[in-house]
Amino acid sequence: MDELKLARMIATGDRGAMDQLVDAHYDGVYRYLAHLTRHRQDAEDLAQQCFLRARDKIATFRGDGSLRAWLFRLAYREYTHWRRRKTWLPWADAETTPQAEPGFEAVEEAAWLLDALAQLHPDQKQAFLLHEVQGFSVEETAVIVDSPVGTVKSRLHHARTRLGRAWAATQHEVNNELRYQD
Amino acid sequence: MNSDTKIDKAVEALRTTESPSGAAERLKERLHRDFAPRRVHVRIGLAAVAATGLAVALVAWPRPSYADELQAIYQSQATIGNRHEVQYSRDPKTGDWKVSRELWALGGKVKETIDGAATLYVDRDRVLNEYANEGYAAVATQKRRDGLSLVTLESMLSGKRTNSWSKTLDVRLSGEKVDKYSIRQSNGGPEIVVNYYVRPADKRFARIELVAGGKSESVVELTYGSVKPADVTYRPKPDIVLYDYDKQRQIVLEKVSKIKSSRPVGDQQLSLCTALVDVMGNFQIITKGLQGDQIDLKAPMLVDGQQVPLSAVLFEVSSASLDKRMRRVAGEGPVKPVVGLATMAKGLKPGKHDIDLPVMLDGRTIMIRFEKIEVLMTGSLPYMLCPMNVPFWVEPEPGGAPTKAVDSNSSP
Repeated sequence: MDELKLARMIATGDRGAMDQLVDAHYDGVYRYLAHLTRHRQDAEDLAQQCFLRARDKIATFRGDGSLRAWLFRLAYREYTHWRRRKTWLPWADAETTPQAEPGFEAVEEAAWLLDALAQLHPDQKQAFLLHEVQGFSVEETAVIVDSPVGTVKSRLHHARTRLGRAWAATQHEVNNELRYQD
Repeated sequence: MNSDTKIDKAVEALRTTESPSGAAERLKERLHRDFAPRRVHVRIGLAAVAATGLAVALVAWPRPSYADELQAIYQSQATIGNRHEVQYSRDPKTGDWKVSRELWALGGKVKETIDGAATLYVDRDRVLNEYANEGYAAVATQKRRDGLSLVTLESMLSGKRTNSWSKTLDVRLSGEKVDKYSIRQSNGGPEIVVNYYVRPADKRFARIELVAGGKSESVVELTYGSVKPADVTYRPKPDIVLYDYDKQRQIVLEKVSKIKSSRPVGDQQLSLCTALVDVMGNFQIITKGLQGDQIDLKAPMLVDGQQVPLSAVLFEVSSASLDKRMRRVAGEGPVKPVVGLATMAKGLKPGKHDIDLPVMLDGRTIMIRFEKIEVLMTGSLPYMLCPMNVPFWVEPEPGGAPTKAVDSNSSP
């Protein structure tokens, strides 16, 4: 179905259309937020908040870009608000710095990449996750994070370079370890 | 393995991250529960899914005479003031039937429950939503939105679908003889059939059924004449707090239009008109006098000396274009912008609080203090303050223009 039509159906209160939106995009939005927060429950809460906001703001979707990019823009904002709340939230229950939950990423490579991404500037991390993992074009990523295309390209370049250095450093440590064992 | 190969492999692994089991279904349940049906939807009073099917079918392709007949019947249903509808839906996981929606209509009053959680009451233009799980109810005058009529539905649902119509007379339904109209549509996926069972004597729907892929998925049963005034009258429960958004909006209007005190910021004046918090912890402040970008979003504000981050400028409206009652008038120039600042402050109690706002002046951030600001409690700030994404006193742009939001984190 055409995305603009789907959006308008949601705006008219069509629950089936809302379900369709969730079915099509929930996993991607959740995955993105899980990689950013590295916390299952927070990612689920943020994804829920993102879709609630999407439902309320769906009338503002004009079909200029993809509905997926529009949703990720909302998810990005939810995440930035969440990150700030994690830093300052005097009335909330005890908050902790987000950490990887045990067993969250069983795959070694994924765990390595999330660790390495955590060392990057948040803007570089955002751009990398959106472009490399979620598959958005550079132009779409620029719209989602509300930055110029050139800036996003620069962030992507720096992100890859720094990740490459992180991998090289890891290899260096492993080699040293092996030499020591020999 | 070189670094690029390693990164690509890791990216592939990240793409396999799975969402928690049942999370999407939990989200759908929440979305349905909170879904306040629009005025038009309530007036028509038919299951949204069935209405959609009908709208698709009614606009499309060579129409047999009974298509017009069915459309006339459909449109006449809105005027039936005493009816009870029960919608049963099949649980996608267990296959069991459950009541997903129930509606009582009497005269201009309507009560509707969705999944037994959210309850809606409509009394002409006043709409009350009760959210029992959140412990509150909210009532407000709800204007009919432009562009949400069936006509719009028709125009947007046009597309390449195969439709066929049929009409069968004297079908037995619970011992009663009814006429059955069927509309079939397929769009490459499973065939969708919507069956309308109509009593020939009074031309009223007795049942509407949605069949997808040969399986009955949703059924609406309709009965007439049995609804009593008590069925559509709201009785507040003792543990539910009722917020009247109309009254709260009036309070906000007065506070924004009648400034009691202001603080100097250089050669300008800043006023903190009002502060509001809702049951979810959304916290918003409305100021007047400075532009939104003069507030330093990167610095936290202080509430009773405690740091609270400012998330965004939610809206910014020029007061020069608003009259004393905040109605839009012709005018130029942002003389005194009205700015809404949004953040979260879970646990903040209503009442009087000292608030310090971070303001940029000559390249540095200074704190401007406002003492004993009354914080108003409401049910849902987005609905109360910005029901159409802009402040309630501003008519939304045609097509739903997005509000201006400034995010302090978006700088390169």
